[in-house]
Formats: sequence, C-alpha cells, structure tokens
Amino acid sequence: MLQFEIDPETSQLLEVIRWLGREYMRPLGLEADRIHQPIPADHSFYKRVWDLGIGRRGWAEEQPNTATPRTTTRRGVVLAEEMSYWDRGVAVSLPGPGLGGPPITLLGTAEQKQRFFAIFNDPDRPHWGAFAMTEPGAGSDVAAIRTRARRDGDDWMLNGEKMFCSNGARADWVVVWATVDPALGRDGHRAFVVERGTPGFQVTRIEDKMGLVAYESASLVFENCRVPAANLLGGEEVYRERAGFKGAMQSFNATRPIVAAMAIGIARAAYDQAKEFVRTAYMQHRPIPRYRRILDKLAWMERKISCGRWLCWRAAYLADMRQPNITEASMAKAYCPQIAQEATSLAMEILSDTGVAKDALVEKWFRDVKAMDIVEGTGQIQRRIIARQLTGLGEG
Amino acid sequence: MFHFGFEPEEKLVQQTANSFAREVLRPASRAHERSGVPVELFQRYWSLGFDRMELPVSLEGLGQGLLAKVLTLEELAWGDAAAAFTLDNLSWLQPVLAMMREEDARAIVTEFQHQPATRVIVADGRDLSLQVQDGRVSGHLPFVPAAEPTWLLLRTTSSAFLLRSETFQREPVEPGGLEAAGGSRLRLDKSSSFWSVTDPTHVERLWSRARIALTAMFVGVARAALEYAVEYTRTRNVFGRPVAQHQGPAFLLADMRTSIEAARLATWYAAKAYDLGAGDTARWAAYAFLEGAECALSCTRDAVQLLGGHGFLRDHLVEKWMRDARVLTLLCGGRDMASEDLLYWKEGEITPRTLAADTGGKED
Repeated sequence: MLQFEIDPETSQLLEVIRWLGREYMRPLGLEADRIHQPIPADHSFYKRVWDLGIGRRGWAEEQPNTATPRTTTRRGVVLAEEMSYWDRGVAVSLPGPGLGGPPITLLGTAEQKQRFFAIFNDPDRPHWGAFAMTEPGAGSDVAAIRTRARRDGDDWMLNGEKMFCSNGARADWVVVWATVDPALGRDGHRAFVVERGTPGFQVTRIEDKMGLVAYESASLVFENCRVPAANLLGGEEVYRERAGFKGAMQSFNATRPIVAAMAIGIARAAYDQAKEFVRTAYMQHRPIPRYRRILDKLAWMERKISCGRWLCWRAAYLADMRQPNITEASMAKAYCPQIAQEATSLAMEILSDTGVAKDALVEKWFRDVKAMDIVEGTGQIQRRIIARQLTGLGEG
Repeated sequence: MFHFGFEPEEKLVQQTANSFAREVLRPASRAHERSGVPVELFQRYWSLGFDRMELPVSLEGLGQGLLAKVLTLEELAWGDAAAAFTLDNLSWLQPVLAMMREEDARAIVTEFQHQPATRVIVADGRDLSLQVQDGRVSGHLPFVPAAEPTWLLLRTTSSAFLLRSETFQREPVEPGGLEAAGGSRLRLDKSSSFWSVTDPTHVERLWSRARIALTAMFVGVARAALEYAVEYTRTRNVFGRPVAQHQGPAFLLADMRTSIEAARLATWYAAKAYDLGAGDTARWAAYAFLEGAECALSCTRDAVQLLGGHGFLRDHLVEKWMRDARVLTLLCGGRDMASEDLLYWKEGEITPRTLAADTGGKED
C-alpha cells in the first residue's frame, strides 16, 4: 500500500535531532565556518551525542530478520535530511563508523565486524571510522585508483595516497581501497581496514574547503604500510568472485539516497529561512514590490524539495525491500543536489542584500550544498549510470 | 513507515490498462488522429470499467480511489494520450456526482451507460472575462478539446458550473494537438447550469481531481517519448557508435527518466492526499500539475531532438506526442493558473489571510 507517513519511532528520533540541531549543530557549524576550522575531536559536543547513543549503533547492527520489514535505509534518509537541515558539516563530523560502516557490514567476516565495530560500544569516549577511496588522480573514476596492495608474507603492503577522507584524521580505522594490479581495473580492487597508528600510515593535510568546514576532510599517505591479512575485508575468497568492487558499489547504492537527502535538508533550511524572512519583511513593509515573484520562488522551492524527498524515499524503500535500486538511487542523487543548489541560490535572492553576509546562514548553505553534487558520484556520474541502465549500453 | 507498494487490485487495473494501451491505443494512434476515436472504442472503454473506476458500486462504479485511477491513466496515456483523454469522460465528473443529489447523479451515469461516447470537458474560465448573473454564465471559450462536448464543467473565480450542450453554441476548431479529441469554440449566452457549486472547498476538490488526473497523463506521454527515444538512440549509430553511447544524448535520456520519476511521485502523493481528503490536496495537486507539465513538455521535446531530423517527421510518433503534450498541459488553466493558485496558498502561509492586501473577493 502506498504510504507517505514516517513511523513513530523515527519521529521520536527526529525530535531528538531537532533539539540537538537547534541547540548545538547549527551554532557549531556556523562557528566552524566563521573561524574556518573543523570542530576538534575532543569537543564536549561529541561526548554529549555519544552519551545519547549517536554513532554507537547504525550500520553495526542490522535489524534482525523478523516479520517486520526492514526500515534501516528509510530511517537513514529521514534522519540524514533532518541532520543536514541543521548542519550537514556537523552531521558528517558525528562519531560512528561513517562511510566505513557499509563496506564492513557488506564485505566483512563476522570476526571483522565484531573487531572493528567493538569500539562503538565504548561507553567512555566517542570513536570514528572512515572510508578512503578518492585519490588525487582518481575521483569519479574509482576504477582508476592507484594505491597499491602487495602481498608480503602474512601481511599486505599498501603504498599510495588518498584524499577527501571524512574524519580521516580522527578515525580509529579507515577502510582503504587499493588495487593489486591497476591493469585489472575494478577486478583488482581490495578493501583493507587500516588502523590508526599503523606504521607507514600518515595524515598529511586537512583539506581547505569552501564550505562544510565543520568536519575534517583528510589527505592520507600510505608508505610501505604493513596491514595484517586479517584486515582484508571478507578475506581473499570474496574477491575471487569479483565481489570487491560490487561491494563498494552496493554500499554507494544505499548511501546515495542518504547523500541526496542531505541536499534536501540544506534546501529545506534555505527555504524556511527565506520564508521566515519574507514573513517578517512583509509584516513590516507591506506590500513589498517583488512580492509575487518571491512567492513564486518559494512555491518552486517547496515543490522541488518535496519531489526530491520522494525520490530519496523511494530509492531507500527499494533498498530496504532488497530490490534493485541503482537507477532510483542515482536519480535521487542527480536530482536533489541540483535543485538544492538552485534553492539556496534562490533563498539568497529572496533575502537579497541581507543574504550576502557570511554570517547569514543562506550564504553558508549556498557554499555547503555545492559539495552534494560532487561527493559519492558527481551529478554527471549519476547520469551515466541512469543512461546505462536505461539503454543497456556500456560507455562505448 | 513510508511504503511504495500497491494493492493487488491497483496492480491489476494498471496491468489491464497497459494491455489496452499497448494492443489497442498505440497501434491506432495515427488513425485516431485522422478520424477521431470510433464509438465502438468508447463502448469497450466503458465495459472495461476505466471510466467508472472511482464511482461507488451503487452507481455502477468500481469503488476505487484516484490513486488506482492515476496508475491507469499513466498507462493509457503512454499508449496514446490523445485517445486516452478522449475516452475518459465520466471520470471528470466523479467529485461532482458525489456532491449532487443521488437521482441526478444516477441520471448522468445512465446517460453514459447508453451513450458511452458522451464527452465531458473541464475548462478554467477564470482567465476569460466570463459574466455570471443569477447563476447564468455568459462568455466565450476559444477552445475546448472536444468536437461535440455534451457536458461542460466550467470553473469561474469562485464557483463551478456544470452545463449541458443545449445551453451553449459551438463551432468546430481544428486543434494543433490532441486531434483525436477534436476541438470546438463555445459561446455561452446566459447559459443556465445543470448544477453548480460555490463552496470553495468543493470547487477546489473537483479542480484538484482534474489536475491530478491530467498530471497522470502528462507522465504517461512523457514515458512514451522516453521509451521511444531510448529505443531509437540504442539502435541508430552516429560517429561509429549508438547515439545513446554519446554523453550528450545519454545525459538527456537520464534527465528525462529522472523528471518522469519525480512527476510520477508527485502525482501519487497528490492522488493519495485526494483519496484521504487531506485539507491541502489543492496545493499538492497544483504542485503535481506543474512538475508533470514541465516533465511532459521537456521529455516530448527532447525525444524529438534525440531522433534528429527523423523526429520532425510524422513517420515517428514523437512529433505527435510533443504536440499532444503541449495542448494537454494547457488544460484546466495550464501552468499559469496552477502557479496562481499556489501563490494564494503561499500567501496564506506567509501572512494571515485578513492581512492580505490583494487576494480574494473579486467575483467574475
């Protein structure tokens, strides 16, 4: 049966996020942007959210296979939208396994899941995981990664560079994608969990970004970095059946609607801010000359935000039903960031001169949201995927 | 939690509509365009139950909601939007029948039973300087998409009127799209209505249904155009490989697919709101209409573009769909009136109605 309601448990979680967002996330995100520094890992905010249980569950605990349908991804998109409504940068900086969670869940052995997710049960202090795929020379074209993995006795040696690794400098471990032979393309990919402090693993830089400053995006270097074979996700067997790359892609299919929902969250924040501005301005100086144009823009924003949200919801629903959602996930990811960029831009137009200042939130959101069209597969990559699914033709 | 599955009976009508569209409507598209839709097809449409899905069982209906109807309309319009629009008539009166006296409703349904080719036209008269005096309507409608409309459901600024053909004069008009439906211009001279409603909630409800049903057809014609373009660009080679393997055309196809999905979800949401009787259905109906109209206009135009010179020829159906989509999206006041209605909604959100300087109150 077609339904557009959010379940009571998720609604309760939304209330918690709204409180956190209002009290902490938005002010912290604005402050990080003002001083142009990520929020430090030892900030009391992280301990507070950790104590609330945020980051201590999630990917690590799959819902048991009962008669109740799985809702993990659907809940994920709803919560991601709300978090990003308050501050997407702060949301990404929250403790937990992050994007490193899905590959461990999907590829890892029972022993690996237990070992790497155990830190998220630590009651004393927050922990982070991270995911490193992107390299200076390989962004959208993930098959082109050059970080090498070479077998050396019972271990693996990693050599190469990664960048844009979210929370990579504070993470207890990073899921690092490397290739055993670049000539093999995707078939050569392997995923390793590299733990902090492993000799040869270094954080070389925190990227200097135009937005989303609240979380650190790290550049990493691996120089003869020795990783035990026990840290190869899933063990050798998984990769013989070409599951390595598929595993990564499968995790993207689950996370793309979540990233798309984050764009919707930012767009909705901009919409609310613009609407509030108009409400105030209209009450004070009524009627303002461009009033009808403003209402038209607000209507456009509300319509596109709603459509984008439904695209995310549908892709998430299919993921929960374990039905193929490659096209739907990419459609959500192609559509939402695009309309969100336009929505934040329109919000600035509505606020006009008031919206230009850096401490006006809309200007920050205008910068922040651009990344949504780039991370986890650019809008162009999504279109390639959709077209390929439509036509059944490869890249030619 | 939100859920995107459908009931077995909803799937069944959708499948039935798809078969009818594929086997009957699509192959006869050009014939219907030339000569109109034959009476036998109206009879078949009636007997399959498509035109009375939403009516209660007591009125020979199937007792289904608008959601099931939009699933059906998308399929039918995928086959041929012009024929689907022409064949679907009594449906437009569904909310009217629910509001009028039962014996009047029964009389109308009986008329359709005996004459399934009876045409119903829904028109927005708010832009047309109509005069309303003592419940009688005067004015001029430059185009309605029916050669011989029997019923006219006309919206004015604050009312809706249902008029019979005996009360107005018509002249034939040759339309540039939706040819299967035919066309007329109508002159109303103190035309008396069979039924009317002034309650804004009721007017909004019947207008919402009309907009949502049309939007489902927008999605159908857009999908037809996309699928045609996909097939063509997969098999036509340029510069040594299929058109669809070049990134420019591939991106266009991807954007078409995405806009269809967004419009479809907007239609479903609005139809669900209508079925639940939600207070803001009119807003979601207008949003769906806008999303669907943008989608149909761009997808049909892009499909012609993707076929290149062939797209401009009548050898392919995409040129017809482009013209059909253009006319279809002008109905019920088109995008402009949908946007105007949304401004009213938006204004209500921004400031209490009593403070609004320039809304409401003005009668025709």
